[in-house]
Amino acid sequence: MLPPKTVPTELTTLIRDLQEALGAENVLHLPEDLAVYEYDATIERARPDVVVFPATSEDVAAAVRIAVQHDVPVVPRGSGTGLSGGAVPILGGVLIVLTRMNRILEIDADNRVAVVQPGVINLHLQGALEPFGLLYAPDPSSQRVCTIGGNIANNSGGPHTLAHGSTVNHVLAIEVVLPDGRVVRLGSRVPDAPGIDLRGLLVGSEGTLGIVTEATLRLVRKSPATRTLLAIFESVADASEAVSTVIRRGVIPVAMEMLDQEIIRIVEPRINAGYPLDAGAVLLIEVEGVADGVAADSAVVEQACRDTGAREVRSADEAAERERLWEGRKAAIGAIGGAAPAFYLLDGVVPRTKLPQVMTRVQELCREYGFSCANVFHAGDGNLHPNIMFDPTVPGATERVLELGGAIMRACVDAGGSITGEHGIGLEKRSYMEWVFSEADLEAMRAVREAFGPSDRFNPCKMLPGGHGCASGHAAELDAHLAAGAYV
Amino acid sequence: MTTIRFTGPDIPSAEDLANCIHCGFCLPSCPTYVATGQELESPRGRLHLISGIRDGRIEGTPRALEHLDLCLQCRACETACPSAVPYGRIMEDARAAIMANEPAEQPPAWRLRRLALRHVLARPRRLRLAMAGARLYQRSGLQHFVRGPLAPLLPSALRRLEAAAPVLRGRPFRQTGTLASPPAPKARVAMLLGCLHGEMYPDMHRATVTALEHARCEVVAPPAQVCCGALHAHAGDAETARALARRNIDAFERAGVEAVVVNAAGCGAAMKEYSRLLRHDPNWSQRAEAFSTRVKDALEFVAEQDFAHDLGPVDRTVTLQDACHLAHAQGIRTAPRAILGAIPGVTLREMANSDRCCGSAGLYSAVQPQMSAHVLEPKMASIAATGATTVCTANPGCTLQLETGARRHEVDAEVRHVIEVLAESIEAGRSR
Amino acid sequence: MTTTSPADVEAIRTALLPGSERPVADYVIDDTTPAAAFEPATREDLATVLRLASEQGLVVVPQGGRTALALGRPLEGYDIALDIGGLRQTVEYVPDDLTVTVEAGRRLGALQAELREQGQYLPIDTPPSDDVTIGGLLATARPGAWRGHVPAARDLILGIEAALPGGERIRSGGRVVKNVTGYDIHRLHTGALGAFGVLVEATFKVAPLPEATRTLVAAAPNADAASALALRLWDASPALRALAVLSPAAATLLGLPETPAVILELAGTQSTVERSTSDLGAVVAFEEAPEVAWETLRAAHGDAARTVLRAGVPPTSTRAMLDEVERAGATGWAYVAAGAVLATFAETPEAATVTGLRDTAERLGGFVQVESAPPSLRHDVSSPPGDAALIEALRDRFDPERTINRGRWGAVL
Repeated sequence: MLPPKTVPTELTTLIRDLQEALGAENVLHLPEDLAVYEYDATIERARPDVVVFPATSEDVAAAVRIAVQHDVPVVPRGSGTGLSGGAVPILGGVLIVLTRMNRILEIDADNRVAVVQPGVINLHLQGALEPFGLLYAPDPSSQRVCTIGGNIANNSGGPHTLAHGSTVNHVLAIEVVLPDGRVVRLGSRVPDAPGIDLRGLLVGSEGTLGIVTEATLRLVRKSPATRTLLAIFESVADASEAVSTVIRRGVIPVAMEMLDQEIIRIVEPRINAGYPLDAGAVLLIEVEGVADGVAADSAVVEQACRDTGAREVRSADEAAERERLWEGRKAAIGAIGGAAPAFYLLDGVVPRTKLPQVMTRVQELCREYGFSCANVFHAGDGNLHPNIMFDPTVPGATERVLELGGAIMRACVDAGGSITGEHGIGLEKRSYMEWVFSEADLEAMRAVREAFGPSDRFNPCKMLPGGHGCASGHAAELDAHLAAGAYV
Repeated sequence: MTTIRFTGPDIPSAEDLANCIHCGFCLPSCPTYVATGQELESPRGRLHLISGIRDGRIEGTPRALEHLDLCLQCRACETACPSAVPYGRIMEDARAAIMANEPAEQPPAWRLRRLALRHVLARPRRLRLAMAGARLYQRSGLQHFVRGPLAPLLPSALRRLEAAAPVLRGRPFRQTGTLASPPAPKARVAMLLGCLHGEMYPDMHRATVTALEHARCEVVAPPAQVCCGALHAHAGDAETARALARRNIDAFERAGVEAVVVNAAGCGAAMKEYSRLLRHDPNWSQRAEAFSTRVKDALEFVAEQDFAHDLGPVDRTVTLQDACHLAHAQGIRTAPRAILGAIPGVTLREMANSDRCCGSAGLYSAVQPQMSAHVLEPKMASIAATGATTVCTANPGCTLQLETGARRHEVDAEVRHVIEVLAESIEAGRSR
Repeated sequence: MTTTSPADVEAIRTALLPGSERPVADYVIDDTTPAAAFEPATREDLATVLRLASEQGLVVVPQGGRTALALGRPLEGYDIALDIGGLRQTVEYVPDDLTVTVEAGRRLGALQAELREQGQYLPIDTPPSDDVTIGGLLATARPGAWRGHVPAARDLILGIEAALPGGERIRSGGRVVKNVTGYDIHRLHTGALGAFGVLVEATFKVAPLPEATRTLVAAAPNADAASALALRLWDASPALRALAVLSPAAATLLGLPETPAVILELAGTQSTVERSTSDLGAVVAFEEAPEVAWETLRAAHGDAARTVLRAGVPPTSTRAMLDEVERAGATGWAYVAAGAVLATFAETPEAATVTGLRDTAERLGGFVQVESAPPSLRHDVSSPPGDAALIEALRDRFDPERTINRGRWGAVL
């Protein structure tokens, strides 16, 4: 039997104040209710003291002001699909869950603008835009569940980031609740407004500077023609070489995704996407444009692949066929969950030209540590996603996997890259920040944070190393619960 | 406040639970998550609760069990899951592991439910008696009185339950033995009659016999068959479910058939899982294995036969509700569409989210009327948006729920099993 | 106004490498001559200028191509001219990575020439010309004709190094094309007119040089027709790199007949440009026009000798805004994709004219930015920087003495 919990009186008044402001039905505080808010898609770790479900910006602001009065932390959360522990309330406090704020407020198709609440699911927005022939370009692999608010907090990428850029390139304006409870609008519906671009700073700030309560998004018209190519290689090294060769020949596809043999053998039997089981690696390449341009560009891509050792290049123009090729990519990381007791999904980024060298190093390191590793990633962006598979019930395995993860991150940094391309720093990579930035750089980032409010108010212990009350040491933060696995 | 722990032979396995990687892909597919926006009422949240209760990290308080109870067990999350988490069986196991506690420890509502299921559904005589009463109630004019002058005096829960009662059409279907024997049959099959099914929707059974006969199948109904036990398994009464499974396996084995045809998706799904239900029983596991492979949904079976000949026109604009236990549990989506597509005169207008649960979910509509109504609402809106005048289903529970929905939301559509529309077309073909 | 003592300047002079000082007469801004002008040869020296100036309460005005000095409010002090032109090296260029890292004083033209040798370019056309420095184009973030068709400077920047008034040099971002490590301080610097430090280095994503380009023009019978055509076409082809609606006055600027017109540029592979030309030709008859038209518009936008306004409105409202611009007596044209409407005035307009245009733009859901104007007019009509409390808090931390560009963003900054 677990020891009975006593609720301190300060907490009781915090809960009561929140109930009064937001309605009792929008506040959770029982331990068994809080238990399901202790995780995101990677790490299970810490329970909030109370969870609230605001319906409006004013609700969010009210909850923040109450948290300020009670001097407790505030952590925002969307669908909880983050991959670096960003929504895990490590110091407790008020967890603000934005799933009820899920309305699409406006689609101005003529001006290619949509206004949405933060809890709108990425794919739902895409569905609403479909009839207009428009799309919102960022397409994280979790798009069927992740929210726009979460995408903004993490500056999310996706396969099509290669051509369209990350979330920041598609957010025109945001309404934000600041750590003092003020509601401000940053950016403007029309790009390039005079003034200082706080919007660009807020996007990707992982909920540490403000909570987005409304977003004005830039939409793009769907391309007239699209072709998806599947290039089949004998090795990861050849496929990596092909990526650089395509770019060198002046074509930038909208997506260039790589799957290695390990992942093909996991996903293909489940999905039947058509990836050959004996391939060393495949590249999934997508080209967009006017029909003639697509034909010309795909010819260049195909030749580049053949010149770097592709044994076969298949192509698909029809939506259903293309979908099938993509299905394997989208389901890949989830399929590892069914294939291994646990896995650790990494997110590193290197200059594209260093891909062959770094991929070789990743494979060496995995062999050295004795783990198998499946790779499925955004090769065109040099954005690696090694998935280290392991059995957490083996004593010491989790610690060694974390060590290996660190070594792979180190290899990325040494190659001139960085420690996250799209998943964020969150709790997971705080202690690696010093590999990338000097103390002066980090001091500048702390200054930014302090300018917005006290650093322990919004999402404490995230992104920047140190911080009051934040446990130090990488393994301590992740501990054995890493075993849950993670999704790209 | 009492808390409960998992016990007994059906505690959810660590391996099943470990498949979940917390990605959250299941969330938007879950009707109760969509309705509430709360992780608590999501598959991922429930798996976390189950895993926490199992490991003693989370207390099995009445409140926690309520979240488990609010699950429709529609298994839409299994379709959405990239990691193949066997959610349906984890939830069934969890419920069984709760009900394996001493009766005094069990949540009172769960205990009551189990009693009702054990003592009515599993006992055909009692069930028939109850249904006879209901029939009398509807025909005698008493219903008219209850819905009219008496209505304000009834408690609201009872009134809602009464309003959801099906219109009992015609004689119940209780026939056993040989139901059809066409000349030179291509196959010999047995039909599950079910517990409530033949009482409530006898026409579905008649239509199924018609369709099977049309496909040149000899059809039998072994007299010793009983309720499939699906509702018992869903409610955590694994013991009764196993007892019913053994009796059915025995009954159908004796019939010596190639296939056991089931026209209720919920029952079919349960019977396909007898192999798992009895896996720990050394005397029965192999027989259950063999039995389960012979179970076929009626639509699945008919679609594989030569059924499309001599069909007459049926003038219906239909929309199709994918029964959860057909689409998600059995993975059958094309068969109903193939059958409807073959019927001359039928126009199929697909509704949005056709594989989203209607809120029937076995006993759910009675046990969780509020959430059930909440889930039903968008379903009726999607149906209305198609303009169809017939809603096709593949499960009697869904039929009942959608009939209620049509009345409550004033949607002018009748609800029919796909096989009934097919039988109509066969009849039309014959009379030409 | 600050008063600079000779001793203050001397301290800076002696701290720098010899030969760093420049004649002050070359650095006059709005009729003010600074006490000294330096062109540091190293980043260390540049940071030293900032540190010493900050310690002594002096105002430093960083400048490169000196193309946007009439942007923002008039300065409240000008002691030291800091010419970043001495830092003009390309630090790293990896064509296969499509990335380039350059020092902030490098001219855009010089960089483009270097990239062109590898068949690549930086898709940025900040006005008035390729004379702008990289630091200048980032600090001002002025959009040109390509905006809305290709990514803007703020979308192409991958990382920076900046020198702070305290003398530290800090980095943010990196040299990889996709990176979410830490706060994007580089985005904060983009368009900030130096409020948070002086950029000394920047890394960009570059693009393959289009195989072919073609400029097409179609005269329209009236403004309605021109606008309707533009709204129909502005993102009709992925090959469009620029599209402008010209008022009759703007058309004459390009040597075209004095009627409303639509001018557009296609860029891409030969086949894409050919196909798009015929696709667009099916909508309306276009004629080929000289590429130099775009340079003409770019120069007119960046003409610091005139009052130039840039309105931003939703694309569907560019027509209404253009009408207002013409009514105000200015020459106007609109880059429809970005909703940018440019207005250049032959004579300095009244403040009321500018505020009138601003009211119209705001009513249409947008804004007006003064791109250049005489100091008095800028003093009266320049825009505030945004949320004052936040920006002040940031500036307090990065430039507490208001060493850099004091007054550009108004009194508090």
